[in-house]
Amino acid sequence: MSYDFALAWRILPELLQGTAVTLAVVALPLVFGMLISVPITLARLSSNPVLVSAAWSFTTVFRGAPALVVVYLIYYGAPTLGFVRNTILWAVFSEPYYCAVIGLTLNHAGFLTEVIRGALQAVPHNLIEAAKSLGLTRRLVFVKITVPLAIRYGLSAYLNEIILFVKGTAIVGAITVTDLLAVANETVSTTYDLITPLVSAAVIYWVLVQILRAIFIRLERHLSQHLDLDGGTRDDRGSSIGRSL
Amino acid sequence: MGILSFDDMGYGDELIAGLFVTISLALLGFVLALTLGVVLGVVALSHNRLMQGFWRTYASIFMGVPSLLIIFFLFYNAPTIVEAITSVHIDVSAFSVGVTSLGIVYAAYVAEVIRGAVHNIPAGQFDAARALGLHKLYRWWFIVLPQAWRIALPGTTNVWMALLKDTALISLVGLTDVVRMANIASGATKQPFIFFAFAGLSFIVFSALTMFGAEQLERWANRGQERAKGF
Repeated sequence: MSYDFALAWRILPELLQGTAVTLAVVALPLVFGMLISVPITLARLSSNPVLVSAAWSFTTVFRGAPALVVVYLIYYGAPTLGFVRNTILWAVFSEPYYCAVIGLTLNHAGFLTEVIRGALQAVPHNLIEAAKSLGLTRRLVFVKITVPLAIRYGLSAYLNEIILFVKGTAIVGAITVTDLLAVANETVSTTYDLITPLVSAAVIYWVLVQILRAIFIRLERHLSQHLDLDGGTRDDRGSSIGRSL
Repeated sequence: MGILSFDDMGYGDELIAGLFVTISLALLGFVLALTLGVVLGVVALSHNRLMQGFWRTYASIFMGVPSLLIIFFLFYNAPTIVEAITSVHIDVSAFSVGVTSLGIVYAAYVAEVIRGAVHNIPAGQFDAARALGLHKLYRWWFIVLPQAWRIALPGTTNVWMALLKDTALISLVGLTDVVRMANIASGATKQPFIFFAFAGLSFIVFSALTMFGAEQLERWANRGQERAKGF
């Protein structure tokens, strides 16, 4: 058996539909993940012990448990809770897509908090002290000095996390969300071709990852153009954090 | 309620059996990943353009495609592949598909860690070894390896943790690991929370144990190194 181009062409529309679902399953957790990660990271770096341990527990749990288990827990677990079944929440939790989004958001956020923490901590301390000694308020120091630098330092770690996250979304087929991999799997069973659908899906995933990579390389170059790094060594601080693979 | 008991009524024994499957899958997969990864790392470090091309392609494929897809692909095609190579037909178990696919995928990450570690060794070390006239093998064994493994340690720990969690994916091709056991048990008892929480917690505990062990190992490996103070 080998790759069947005619079949690949025929199933392309379905695969693209699956790709759209994959993108939808990626997009919302990226946004929500960022929204909840920032406050959690700030809690983690705060001096309040309660906030610190709450943030630490969040990160430990959702980095430690496989995304599949988290998604299962939400998909199968939520309907057993009375207050979910009997309220408006049911509209959300009865829909596999939203269960996937919630589970993946938690998983993504667990890793993202570490990326953000690493990036914030990579900002040299003397820069912050210099800004303080110039009389900038704490808020101004954070907004004008820490954040812009942290974004640059954290960019490559963030890219690594997003790539792993996008690949990780392939599990949503397990809770009946028909993403790209689930569509490919269905076509395997309808066409009895064990190679073409999966290889085609692999190519699409691969292209998605390369597009992400290209966007981030652009962004990184744009954010560090003042450093004139082309050809020189790349500033890799903050890159070995988070999933760091 | 005795749903977690170890007799025929409870799922305690099934869950523990599932845990053993998960751990042995992770360990075997990791051993395979390390072995393949070292070979790939050597390929990645070579200056031969053909070898470089092979490494780039391998890394690009296995880092750019979901591991679940690789698992499904191998699960469907492994019997054909094995038959093509050995001309013997054997039924391939979900477990062996799991070990192979995790090994193949994570070998790319291991090789990347090794490559990074070797690149982090100061060029002067290579020059000095060469200036002393050390044979290539001596140079690698006595100069590069003792320094590189220390640098590679945190990255290797990360690979292990990611691989451990990815064993959950093999449950989707029917392996009766802890996740699948939890799935079966929650379907039968209508108590999903307790079983999936158990599965999740066992992964979290493994990760915590790994982190603790890795910290000790790193401290031991870096015992001769002076660390920058104040951090």
